[in-house]
Amino acid sequence: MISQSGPLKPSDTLLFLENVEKVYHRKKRSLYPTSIEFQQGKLICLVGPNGSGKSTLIKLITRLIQPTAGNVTYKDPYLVIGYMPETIDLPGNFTCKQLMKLLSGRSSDNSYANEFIELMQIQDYINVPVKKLSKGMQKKVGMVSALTGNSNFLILDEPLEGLDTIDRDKLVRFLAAKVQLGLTVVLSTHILYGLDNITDSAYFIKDGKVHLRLTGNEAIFNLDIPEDIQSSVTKLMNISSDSDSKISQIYHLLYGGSL
Amino acid sequence: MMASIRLNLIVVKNSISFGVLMLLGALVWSFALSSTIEGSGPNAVLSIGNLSLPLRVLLVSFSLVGILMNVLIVVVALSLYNKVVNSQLSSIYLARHQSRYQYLLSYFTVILLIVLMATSGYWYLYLKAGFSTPFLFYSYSSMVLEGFSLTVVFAFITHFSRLKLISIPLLVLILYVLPVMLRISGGFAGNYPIFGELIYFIENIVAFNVNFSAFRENIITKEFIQKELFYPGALITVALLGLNAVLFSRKDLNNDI
Repeated sequence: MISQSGPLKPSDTLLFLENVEKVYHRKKRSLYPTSIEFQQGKLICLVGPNGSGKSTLIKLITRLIQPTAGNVTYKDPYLVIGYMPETIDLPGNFTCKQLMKLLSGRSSDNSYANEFIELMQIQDYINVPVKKLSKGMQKKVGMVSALTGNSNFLILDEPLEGLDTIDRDKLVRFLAAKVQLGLTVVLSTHILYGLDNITDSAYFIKDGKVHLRLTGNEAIFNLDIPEDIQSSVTKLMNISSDSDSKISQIYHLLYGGSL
Repeated sequence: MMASIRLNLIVVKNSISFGVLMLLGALVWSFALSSTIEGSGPNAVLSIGNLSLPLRVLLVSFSLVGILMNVLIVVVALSLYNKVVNSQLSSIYLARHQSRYQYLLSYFTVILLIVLMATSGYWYLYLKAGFSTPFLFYSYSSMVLEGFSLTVVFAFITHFSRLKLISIPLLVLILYVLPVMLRISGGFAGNYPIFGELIYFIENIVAFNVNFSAFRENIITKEFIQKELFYPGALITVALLGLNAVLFSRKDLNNDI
């Protein structure tokens, strides 16, 4: 079962959430007590419908919001965190280049960001004010800012939204290559396109609860999940297939019905 | 810290209100440079062309230029606050740097710099009018602190999300309307000591900002340094600055749309 209480034992853990819970004003509960560990060189997907608590979890990880209870512990104090919000809303004439300059700080190594700029062919847009760019282009600027200074921990909120199929392919392949080099990626998404082959762990979240944790061929369910859905998911996990849509099928099993 | 100061400067240099404020500051400078001043201290008379007027009329806070300058300082501070501190930019920056104290301090450093730039023409006017060093120091510091403390109070109000929408009317109410109303109804104070203490508290602690202009007026008109008006105000400004930093370090940055 998913650990909703009690400490986990970290190995090469970068970040450790221990019984983290978030309750907003007027007692609106956005996240139930959850424990998750994030390990180096892994890609972790937070999957769930809109308003499920994914962004709350992301903001807790980035320490932009404080947990109502529980602890967020970073094991490496020198971690460089690159954060990409769901939508980019920067002031007036701010450009991608300015953002890169401000975020890189003392580090002048922007090779990841420059590689991404080249891959997406957005060299001509880095000096254009963000407000004048299309939604997809803004998304790419957000990604560049997250990669600036060669971050070793990427936190991406809905990175696939707003991108066309070709750009999604490029992004997924880019992330997979960087994870191989030791980059840790946490991404939240409700677009499950092409993620199966690059995801190390997937957390299925709804109504502030982690319903299912998927790691390789292991599925760990929350007690709330009915047994028939559990067995359907397990059956699906055991079917050997080349299909790259297992996460998508499990998503439909979990949230397509009454859950 | 330098990166976050640069971030504030990049944002503010593109804002219209900042341009207008700098224009007003330049106007004061050109006025100061092209005028001649006869006499010194409280009796100084400023002449420009055929126009002659006592210098004290220009230097008190309730001159038209003084009011306009303070309003513009608040507008620039509000605009910068919304674009840098209370915006997605802070989320992107602070997720990486996790230096909230420094981030807020950078905002206030840039605001102080802007206030100094905008009011520097006045400093030259004081100098030209032959004010002695302590008078020059105190009168100009009180002018800078008056503008700066407005922004500190404003930031303090906006930390409370429910007050954010009414922050400007609330600022005017606390700093200007409330003390005047209490002073008008001060007749009651003699009969009710608690009421008198309340008036004292609001005039000196809540609306401390007004004391800076009273302090400056004393120097300009009477050559009198009333330190009890200056130092508590300066201390409250510093204390509020610290309180702002503590509140900002603990608040949820929920700025992503």
